[in-house]
Amino acid sequence: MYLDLEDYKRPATVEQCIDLLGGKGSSAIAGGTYLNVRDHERVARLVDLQALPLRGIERVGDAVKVGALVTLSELVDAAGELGPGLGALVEAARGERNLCTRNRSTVGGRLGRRRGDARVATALAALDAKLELLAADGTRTHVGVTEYLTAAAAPHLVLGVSLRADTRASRYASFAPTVMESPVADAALAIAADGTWRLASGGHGPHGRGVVVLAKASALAGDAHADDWRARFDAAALDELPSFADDRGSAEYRRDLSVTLAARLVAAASNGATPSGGAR
Amino acid sequence: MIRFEAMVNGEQLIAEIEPHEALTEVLRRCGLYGTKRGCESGDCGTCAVLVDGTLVASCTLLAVQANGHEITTIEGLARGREPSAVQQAYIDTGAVQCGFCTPGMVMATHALLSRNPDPTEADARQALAGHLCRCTGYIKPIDAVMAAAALVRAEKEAAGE
Repeated sequence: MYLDLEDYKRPATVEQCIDLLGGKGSSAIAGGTYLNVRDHERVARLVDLQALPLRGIERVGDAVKVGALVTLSELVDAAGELGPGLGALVEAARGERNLCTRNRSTVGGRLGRRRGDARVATALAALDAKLELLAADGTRTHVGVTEYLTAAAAPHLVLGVSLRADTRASRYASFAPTVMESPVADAALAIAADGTWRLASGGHGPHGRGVVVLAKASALAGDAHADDWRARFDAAALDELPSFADDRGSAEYRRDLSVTLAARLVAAASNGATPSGGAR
Repeated sequence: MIRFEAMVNGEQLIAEIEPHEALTEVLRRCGLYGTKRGCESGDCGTCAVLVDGTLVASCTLLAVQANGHEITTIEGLARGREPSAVQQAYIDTGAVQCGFCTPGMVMATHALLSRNPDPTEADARQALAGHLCRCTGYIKPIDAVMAAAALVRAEKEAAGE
């Protein structure tokens, strides 16, 4: 339980919010599905983001912008609007625990914890999404997902994510022993408008290093009909995957599972199969 | 202490709360015992309530986060002393055994039928996913959802809606 919590604020602007987050013991809270369960013992001040104008999914030029306070349920409901190009993000959101969680958990919240087992982080990494951040000094920057997840923590606010609207197709697959658990491993694949394939793998630890982009394996993905493709693909992917073990799986098991999920996504995309969420 | 003001089941509820208190605790302290305290981690679904019409786990929502919002608990579904169509369906199908999970399942069913008045059995299963029950084996609650949908449709037809 919260041991040190004394103060609660609900700022109306991002500027007020970033000021409040600079104080010692301050923590942002969006849906609260993570923070209200764990890692909150030493939080002295909660800065509730719910009043900030960071909601909505909109098309801006050739980009789709998703506000940080968009919930996972809202992503699922926007499947038609997002289209098959951003289907991986929808499937990742749909796979997250139960409806109560999806109704509260936000895109910004899933990213802001900088964990490697947040399904939407893997999908966004494959989709080469850019996060818009507001730093304590008021500077706004755009960073890639894996760059953000592994950066040194400093007071900031995730304002939203920007995705390419012309992404041709994307898919997501994961495995967890039960629907209520975070994935032991997951994978996402996106095919950009220029035909470039991009694979990401997640679940390799509770820290931000648990999500990786598989650049070498991605370069081989478009060649999936070649006879020796699977052997070359496996070798390339294994070379890039981290080694993380916990009580749910050894590093060897997790790496093998990750390669299998990624290879299935590539095979399905190569065969033009209907995008699917894959294993749960 | 923080002043908590929200519309709960159509009536203004005012209470003094600590910032760390979960919504479950505040509701129960105010006499709304139908919302059960279960896992306290958002996994079991027995504490489910509607906040602004959206199904949420009240154990992973601080009461201060719900301050100023519209909340519906299991007590808010009944029509006076008469059960709602969803509650009646749970009774009729024998979907209640120990009753601990029932309020959350009823709220989930209510939320489903608000969005989808004609659910398939797959929709019903999806709606109850995350609501754990150690008694029924889930068969009768699924039956209850389908029966509730039929009852609600019949009520709407009778009302000419």
